[in-house]
Amino acid sequence: MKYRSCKAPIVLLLAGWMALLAGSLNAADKPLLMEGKKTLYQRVLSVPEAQLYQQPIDSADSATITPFSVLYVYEKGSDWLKVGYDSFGQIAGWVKRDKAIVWNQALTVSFKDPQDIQRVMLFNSKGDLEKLVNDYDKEGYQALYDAIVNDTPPKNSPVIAIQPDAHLEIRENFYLVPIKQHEDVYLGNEQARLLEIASVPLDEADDNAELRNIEAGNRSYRSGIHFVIDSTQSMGPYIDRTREAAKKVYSAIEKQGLTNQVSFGLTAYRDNLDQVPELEYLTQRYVSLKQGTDVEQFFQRVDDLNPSQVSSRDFREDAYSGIKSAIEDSDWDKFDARYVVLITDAGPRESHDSLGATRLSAQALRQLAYDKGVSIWVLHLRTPSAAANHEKAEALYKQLSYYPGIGDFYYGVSLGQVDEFGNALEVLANQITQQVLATTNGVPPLPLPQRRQGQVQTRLAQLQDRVAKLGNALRMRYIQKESGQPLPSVFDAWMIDRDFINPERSAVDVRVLLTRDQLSDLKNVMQQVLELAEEGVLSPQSFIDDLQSLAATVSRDPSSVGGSTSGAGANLAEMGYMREYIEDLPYTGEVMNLTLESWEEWSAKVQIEFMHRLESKINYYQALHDHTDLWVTPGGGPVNGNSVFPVALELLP
Amino acid sequence: MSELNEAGTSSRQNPLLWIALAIVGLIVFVFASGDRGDMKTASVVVDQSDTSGSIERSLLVPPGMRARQYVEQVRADGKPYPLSQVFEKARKYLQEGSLADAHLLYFFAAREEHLPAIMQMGEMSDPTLFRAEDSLLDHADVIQSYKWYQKAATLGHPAAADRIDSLQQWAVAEAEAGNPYARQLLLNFR
Repeated sequence: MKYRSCKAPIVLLLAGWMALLAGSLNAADKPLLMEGKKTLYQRVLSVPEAQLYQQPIDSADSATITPFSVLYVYEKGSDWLKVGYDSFGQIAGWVKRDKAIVWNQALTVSFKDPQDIQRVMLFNSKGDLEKLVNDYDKEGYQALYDAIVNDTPPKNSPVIAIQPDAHLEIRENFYLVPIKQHEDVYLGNEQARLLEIASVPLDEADDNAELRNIEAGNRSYRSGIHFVIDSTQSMGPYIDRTREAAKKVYSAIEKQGLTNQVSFGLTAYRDNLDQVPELEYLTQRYVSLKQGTDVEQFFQRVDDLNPSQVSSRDFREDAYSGIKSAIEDSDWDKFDARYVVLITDAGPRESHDSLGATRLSAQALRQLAYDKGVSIWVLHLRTPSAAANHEKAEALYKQLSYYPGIGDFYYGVSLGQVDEFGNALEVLANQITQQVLATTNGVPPLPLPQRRQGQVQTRLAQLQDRVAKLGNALRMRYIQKESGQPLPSVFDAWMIDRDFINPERSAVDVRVLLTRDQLSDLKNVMQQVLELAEEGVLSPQSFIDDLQSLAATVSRDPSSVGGSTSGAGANLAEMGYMREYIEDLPYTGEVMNLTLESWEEWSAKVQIEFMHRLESKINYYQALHDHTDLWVTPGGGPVNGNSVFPVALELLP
Repeated sequence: MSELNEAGTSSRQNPLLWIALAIVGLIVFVFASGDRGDMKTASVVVDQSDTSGSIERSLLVPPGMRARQYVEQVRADGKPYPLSQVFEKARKYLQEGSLADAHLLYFFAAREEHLPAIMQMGEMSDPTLFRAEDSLLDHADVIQSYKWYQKAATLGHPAAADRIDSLQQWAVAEAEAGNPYARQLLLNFR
């Protein structure tokens, strides 16, 4: 008894100590959960000046943290956060609370290529942006944008920063522009979101000077105009007019005394020779740009142009082959301004058309031209014989002739109306002449892609890469720099996620940072839904029961990182398919919104289309998951379940 | 003659009759011009005895219903399923323009690993071969196409690998132009 009485307190003490230790280990084992969540942990981002301390005291050893590192919060003090790079219990150290941005929702922004869309302006206050949005003041916005882009911001400008010129593809260069708040608004008739973001400033004053020096320099400005002409039989009655078009452009340029600085080329095209061998050629070069310096020779060759003697197969011709040939087989490097002018009365053969030789879409061909700095102009003769195809052809030619930042160069002419043809020709000739004139005066008429400028581009690219990122932060060109004041290390700003001038286009992608484990979970759940849907398309009788049964199984899975709850809701989200890591996002996809009533009412076609969209997303999740090179592991190290990738909200189910 | 005249006079006098005739004509035209699978019809008349390959097309059957009933019957008869017959029946539906029924039967056979049906599914959604007039779907779907060609290649179809190469070439050009589906497809090749 005595022995026992002596030992009992020690055992109790040990037990208590063990319990405390266990409790302490458990506390450190997992990060703090977000309020009301079962599987989602609290996360922060480190700001550029943040240090990682060994102990929560200023005098402790510390090390710099990569700016905008994602950190899990394991413990919170009044001034300090105990953090780790993963959720597996590995503690990295302590950061000061004022050096961390709370980022539980893990939403971020990726920017579009500024060659395709206006750069995004960042506003100092929500109110200034909100006023522009509520008034939908396009002119005011454009004036402000022009001033900011041209480095002449108005006094007391509401814009604090602007998206940089340089474009980083987020799949190749991981970066974060964390969203701190978001709010739904209408921009014109389009739904949009106001986003409060945190960013890191970039002072481009010096860099801009360097860019200007690079772009300056003595050039001998020249323009190349390559005509691509449909020479099929249907064009017979209009070949004269086509010659007239070419001559009109030439004479307009001649009037300006610019002929020495312009060279003309000519390529004719027809259609698929396998179908109609009598067409004789698919494309034929009549005059190269080099030969076209001699104008007399050029017009002699134009006069040789004759339509085919036989009819081609249908009302489409292979215009893309003619354009592709003009783009690829011309020596454009000698020309500062580059134009391809297509003249045709027929629609083109698109990428899916088995009779087309290029297999290119309008977009792909446009890109090919754009990469060489060539703008495509289309004079579409809307003849009665091909009336059935005019609208489709117009849509494709508009896509084809679209030049980023400018618009399309499509001119549709209803033939039979001589005046209209003459007027359209006049407009086209004048516009080209003006462009040539501008180029001759040293003003590049079109925003040429930077990548084509050889050595200049190399220096540009180096410069852009140098300034674009700081750690994981994408740096924004900072406008509101007070004289003599240092730049802030990080700043908050407001932006809108749609293109202000064309709000049907998104200016950015809003993304959520998912872990690899979460994406895997999402893929597995959606795969099970897909398998049921496939069966449901063939045998609809048991689909709904099966879906409800699966919802219960999915939500009971103890190994799941999704943390859903089974219920008896009307749609998939409410039934239990919604995962915690996507449930509070400002987006719900069509899969989660799917109601059983809708499914039952849908025709087989609509069900199949839905299934295909779901399968496309699953394919994306799987491909993304398998590409370990795309995943970023916070704190470094090999790819694991905590590695992250920013997935666009529109790709969520 | 007088009856005809009277009837003609009567119909001219009653525009409702002409409207009714026009509606009936429109309905017949819509059903007779082939289905793309997105019409809904309440009334159903089905030839359930048709499993031998001959197709009697009813204008009142919702698109896809005949295929579903056929699948139900095939399944009820047990395995092995007569997949060649299913394929042949799908082909006939395709020929007559019953695109939803054709698609569902090709899909059923393809899921059961019938190689010609798998290739057919791939080709129907292949952007380099797509023909809207032969497809239930309005657009090509490169991810679907890739999936079926992959399956065909795995099962040893000799042409499947070439088709995948062709898809890849298409995707490289399209991805350059910013086509998101092409970019996604290329992720599968890396």
